[in-house]
Amino acid sequence: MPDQNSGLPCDRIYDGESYLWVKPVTENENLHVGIGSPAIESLGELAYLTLAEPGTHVVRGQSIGSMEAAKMTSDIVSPVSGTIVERNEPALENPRMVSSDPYGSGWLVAIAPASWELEINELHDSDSLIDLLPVELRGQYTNA
Amino acid sequence: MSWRLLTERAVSHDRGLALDDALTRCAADVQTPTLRLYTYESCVLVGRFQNVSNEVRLNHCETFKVPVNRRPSGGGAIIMGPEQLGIALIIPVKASGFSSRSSDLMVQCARGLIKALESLGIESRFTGKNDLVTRRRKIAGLGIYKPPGGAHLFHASLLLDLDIANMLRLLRLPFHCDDEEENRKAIEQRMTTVRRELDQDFSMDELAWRLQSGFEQAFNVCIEPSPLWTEEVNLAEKLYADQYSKSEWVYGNTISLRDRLGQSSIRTEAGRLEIKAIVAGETVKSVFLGGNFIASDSAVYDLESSLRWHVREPVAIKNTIAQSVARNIQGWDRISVKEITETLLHALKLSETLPNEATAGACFAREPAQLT
Repeated sequence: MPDQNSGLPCDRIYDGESYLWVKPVTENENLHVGIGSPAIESLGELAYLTLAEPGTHVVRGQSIGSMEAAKMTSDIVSPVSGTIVERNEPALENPRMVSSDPYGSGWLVAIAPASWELEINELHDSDSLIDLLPVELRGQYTNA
Repeated sequence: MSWRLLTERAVSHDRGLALDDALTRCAADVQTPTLRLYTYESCVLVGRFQNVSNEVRLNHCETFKVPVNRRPSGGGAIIMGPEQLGIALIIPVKASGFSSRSSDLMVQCARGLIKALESLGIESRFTGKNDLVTRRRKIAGLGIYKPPGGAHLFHASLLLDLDIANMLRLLRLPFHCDDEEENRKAIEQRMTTVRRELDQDFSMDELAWRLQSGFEQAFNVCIEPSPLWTEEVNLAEKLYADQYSKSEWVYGNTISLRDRLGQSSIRTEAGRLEIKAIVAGETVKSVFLGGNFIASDSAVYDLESSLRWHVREPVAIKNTIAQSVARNIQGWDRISVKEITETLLHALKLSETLPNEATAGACFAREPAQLT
């Protein structure tokens, strides 16, 4: 659910550089990863998306895919280490899902974490993410 | 404040791209932006997510020994050579004075080109997804790329001149037909060059100097020649060896989503209207209007621009067309919103069923094919 102060969902945590979100999935202890709205707002609509295949071992800070948005191409940098167990195939066919529903149907990958207890300390809750946002992206969230 | 300046001429496609990438990756922890102004040996460069065989006449490239490579930045296929200026601005995360929002950053960086052209008496403006246009014709293409942990790379190619016959030979263009003269006209209607705008000879060295000066004015900085750092040279060599010299990078299938082409036409009171639409998933990448219909230059320009990178949703498309026509009501005499909308939606529907993949040519999506 969105944080009443920030407008960002408070049921997940965020990477402070890429603004990717991480949400534990309680039933299987995997983590869902997606792109937070500050990044979407900066990048514009997504047109192309690639994601690493299930079974791929990933390391926090390394690429798990790439995207072309309206104004930029970039790699998608994993916020956690582990193994990709699932990727959002519908989003690969329709990357606009990521732009239109970034916290729901537009998730990217599910990861079985390898160092979650350590890496959780490097991520941020929605309130503290606001403090990390550049001024031009911060306004709309503090005013939400 | 001062920036670094790097200048080169006739770099190879693979080493040229590798150095841009290396400069960007090495700039994560520095504060000084680097401006690189350079030309390539003759080559074709496709965008990050393009399918090479869709965009490039590979048999002709092989015949004429023109190499093909893939940029890390997005956008359409382009030819590069001694008369196209490559511009790379590496913007460190810690550099001051730059927006952190990509859309604003693109506009900011475009100002360097706009200032340079302005100094030559050429008025230009940034428009749409990534074009710099003058007199409603594209004169430069722009893009931004950010590697993991690196800086932002602003990429641009500015046309000092253009060998249209060579472009037709090497690229697959969406408006291509059997009549070479018509093809040439279609490109001239969509693109222009510095020499064409000035109507006189003009050197690449002078253009590069104007670019340097344009960025200095736009950002109120001094840009000074600088050597490459050892770290940059070493990483460029590694990226050349591991990525940009590899056929897997150039020809590998990078996405499951393919561009698709749909086309449809209708006979109107103003003449025959042909619409070609290039679609990627739920995104209409670009729309081309052709045929012998009568409409004003600005009306068709506005419609093509408005539909570029547009969501593929019928109601939204209809609204966009209606708004564009309303803005240019004088220019659409005897063609209705309904006729345009139905023709485009039919083209989009056909794109779902036709077996062919699109000849995308997304870098030429500005100007109408038939103007009056």
